Amino acid sequence: MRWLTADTRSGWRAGFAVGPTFLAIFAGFGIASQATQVPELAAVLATLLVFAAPAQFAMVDLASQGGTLAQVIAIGVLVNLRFVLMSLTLATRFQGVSRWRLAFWAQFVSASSYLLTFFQSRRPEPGNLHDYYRGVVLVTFPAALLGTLGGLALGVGLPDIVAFGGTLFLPIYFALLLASEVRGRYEIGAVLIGLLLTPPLEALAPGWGLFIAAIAAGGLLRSIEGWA
Amino acid sequence: MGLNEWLIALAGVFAGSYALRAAPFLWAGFRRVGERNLHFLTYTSFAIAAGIVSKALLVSAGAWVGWQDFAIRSVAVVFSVLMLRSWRNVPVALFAGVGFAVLLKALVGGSL
Repeated sequence: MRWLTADTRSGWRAGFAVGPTFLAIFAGFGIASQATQVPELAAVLATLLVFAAPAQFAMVDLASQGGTLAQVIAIGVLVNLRFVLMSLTLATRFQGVSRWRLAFWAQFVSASSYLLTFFQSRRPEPGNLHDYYRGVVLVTFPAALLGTLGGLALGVGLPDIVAFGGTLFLPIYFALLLASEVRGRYEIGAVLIGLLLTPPLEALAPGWGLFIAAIAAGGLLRSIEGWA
Repeated sequence: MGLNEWLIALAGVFAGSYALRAAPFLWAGFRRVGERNLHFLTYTSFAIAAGIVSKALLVSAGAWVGWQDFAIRSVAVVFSVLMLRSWRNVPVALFAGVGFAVLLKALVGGSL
């Protein structure tokens, strides 16, 4: 089996589009860790082992407010519940991959590796989707690690304008993918529900809004589709 | 929390998160559920992508952004989509959108 296939390189190229956002977000995590006196080793291990910025921020935030060990573990796992949905979607698209490879690469499921692979799966010739997914991970995971290290090194010295630009790569890239990929009224409906429902739900239930809005969109549209 | 407590916390979150990430790949029952609900998963995927976009327009570092930042981010997204329509090239549209947003922010914030 070849390690670097054409599909892996294709995923790699897609990963580079979102890499700057990973750098910026995880630099923010490094800065937040330093500001709240999280040991540097723990901050780096958080990115290595958890690899999920929302959960990492939630853990650091709760720990800084005096949360207990059990509470910090619980919040980290609960914020990551969305991974079930993402892995479920990917599992239906990864065919003929050994259990060991699936078990290893499962650790790197993130919103980006999942969504980029999902969009790739809709192309007329998607290629080997697990290779593509690996390519995305080979960029995003090192970017997350570099960002964390950079954030720890920079402290609060990251220029605001750089941080601002860095956070825009991911949303603009997803907006471009949506603009070119959405087909049919149900998919447009899903996009509109996600766009409109996520921010207010995030305000009501921080960390959960995205997940709840997505489940609501899927459930509602599936029901309408069933009635039609 | 000290380093030892952090190590225990991270081990716990790693174990829990890994179980959530890996179970659908490794447990056939989960996979069958996924195969039976492909449309549902497709719609949720689009909603998640759209939610990431709208969240990034309105929220930054856990707080609502000001109207000026919201306007800059929204204009940048629209600009990059228009660039995609004219250039048919995603990286060009992406960098044009981000560059445009940074330029607007610098102009509005007086950094230029």
